Amino acid sequence: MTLPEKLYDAAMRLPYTAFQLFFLVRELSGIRSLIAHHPYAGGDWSFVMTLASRISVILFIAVLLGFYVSRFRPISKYSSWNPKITALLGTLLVYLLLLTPRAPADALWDSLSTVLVLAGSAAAVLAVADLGRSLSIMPEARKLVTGGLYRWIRHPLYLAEEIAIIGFYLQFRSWQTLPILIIHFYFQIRRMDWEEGILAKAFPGYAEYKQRTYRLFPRLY
Amino acid sequence: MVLGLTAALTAAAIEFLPETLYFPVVEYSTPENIQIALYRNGELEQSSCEQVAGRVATAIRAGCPACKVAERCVRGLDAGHRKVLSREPLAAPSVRMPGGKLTMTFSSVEQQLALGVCRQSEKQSALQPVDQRLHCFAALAAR
Repeated sequence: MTLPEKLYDAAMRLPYTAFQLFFLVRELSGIRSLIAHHPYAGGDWSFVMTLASRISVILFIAVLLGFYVSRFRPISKYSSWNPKITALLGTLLVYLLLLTPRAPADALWDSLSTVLVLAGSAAAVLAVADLGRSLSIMPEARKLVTGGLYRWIRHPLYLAEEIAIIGFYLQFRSWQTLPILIIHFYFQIRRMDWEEGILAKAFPGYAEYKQRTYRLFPRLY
Repeated sequence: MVLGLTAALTAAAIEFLPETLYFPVVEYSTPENIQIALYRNGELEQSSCEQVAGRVATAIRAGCPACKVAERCVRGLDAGHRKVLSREPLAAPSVRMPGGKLTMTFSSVEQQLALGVCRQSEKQSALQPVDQRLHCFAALAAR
């Protein structure tokens, strides 16, 4: 890769990186404020779970950001805007949740949220470890990955993200924010369609891989 | 690994983040020689902490012109301050607002007098909304 190409590639990573950093800083500041209002946190387990759920959100964003920054350059991608807009909406819409007020602290919901965010984040780390530097936001082909979690389903990272995102949602749990979640799911499914399209075009072995694997849930979908 | 990291970061946040915050403290003594210390939860900025401490001190001076009042803002929590804000029993009578928004301790050479003022504070707050009512705890009582 030439220097101008490297610079262009770095510049293209900047907007999403800045976007994620904004939410990281915002969440960190939120945690500081939370501690300010509960400085006696030590023995209060309900509060500790609330705090852990907020920290797990930060970890999840940090993991995604880390792998995004170090990804490979694509070998094939769509030239039209539709797949890119779908991918952007699928990725970014859910962050609207973080701009809405959180539901009052509740040990049960916050514990469930923590479990889901942690389970999703842990699975995301495993999926991203399999994917390595092939991670992408837009539907682009980098390298065909069929090992690890990808041996059983075609989109383990999406599944992991959605588990974590349902966990995020439980921290807000309002009817007003539910449409954000539903629209996000819709765009993520569309995103998978686009991704499978570009991978099939770039890799001759993809059709056979698609035949023998499920999309998200083994034996179901 | 993720679980361990979350647990470690949560513990670190509880331990170290208070060190970045400012805590308003107002101490005053009454003509009956009762020392009262009022502790509020943390503020993100020193200026907002000073405003809170100043507001509380002004209200105390207005209600008790003969009291000696001193307000300050401390950065971080030392072990004693952390204990006051926690639910651990204290050596002196204390009142606590639900959620720990406000804690006051009462000390005097006459223990019963300090406890009496503590109980009086609880009674006086009875007309306040539930989340602003004070609850009095005797010395060494579970809070």
